[in-house]
Amino acid sequence: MHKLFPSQLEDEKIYIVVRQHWVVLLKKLFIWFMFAAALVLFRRYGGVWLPGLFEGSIGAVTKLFLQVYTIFLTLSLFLIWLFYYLNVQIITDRRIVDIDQVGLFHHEVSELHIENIEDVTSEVSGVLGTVFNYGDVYVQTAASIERFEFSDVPNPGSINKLILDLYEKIPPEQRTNAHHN
Amino acid sequence: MNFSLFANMVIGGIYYVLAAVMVFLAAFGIYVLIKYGEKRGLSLVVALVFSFFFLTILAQSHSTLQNIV
Repeated sequence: MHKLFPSQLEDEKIYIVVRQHWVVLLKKLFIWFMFAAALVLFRRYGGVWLPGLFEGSIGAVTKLFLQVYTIFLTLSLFLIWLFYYLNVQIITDRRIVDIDQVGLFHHEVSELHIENIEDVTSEVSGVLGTVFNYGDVYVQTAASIERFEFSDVPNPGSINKLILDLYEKIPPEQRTNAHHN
Repeated sequence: MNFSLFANMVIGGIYYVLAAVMVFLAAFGIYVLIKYGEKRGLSLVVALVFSFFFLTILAQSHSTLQNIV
């Protein structure tokens, strides 16, 4: 069995695997597209604005610069997708797992057992968030001061409800938090 | 080309430093993707497609550099 996270058990049921909403990815791609458009515009009009830019020795250096810039664009597109793909939240019948690829050299896996949940809050804000129904889900635990955060996930209300439903399935004597009982 | 030796060294030096950094980031990105990627097949396909484009443009730029220096 291919495990989604290191401590996944054989009989553990995965309810949802969630990433940031595609609109958030699209916003990053839009910024990338601006840089790509700058390249296209420079290729098209660079010679008009600066005559001789694409001719002779200077032209070869300009060509080299544009090729290095294209490599940079290719790499950044790959990294945008990589960070989108590797930042994932998983909700199982036993725990919530937050996998964060913070940087290229920093991978973080946080787990929270369902019985330790104290409070769940979902939040939708902004024009795009309201229109496309994405936002944040905060899960507060009894044990830890730091709260779990799902950033810009689709349908935060449904995720909130799913977590609370899973919590309700835990027998009261197993719950860490008494005042939810 | 009509550049001095010093200019050639500067152009080549900057190019190789930038290329080395980007190759390292690309290679490490592929390693991270394959290591932590949820779907092994998708990770491999993306890694292959990215590598193809990346190496193609890198080879072109290196060829351009050799014409300059």
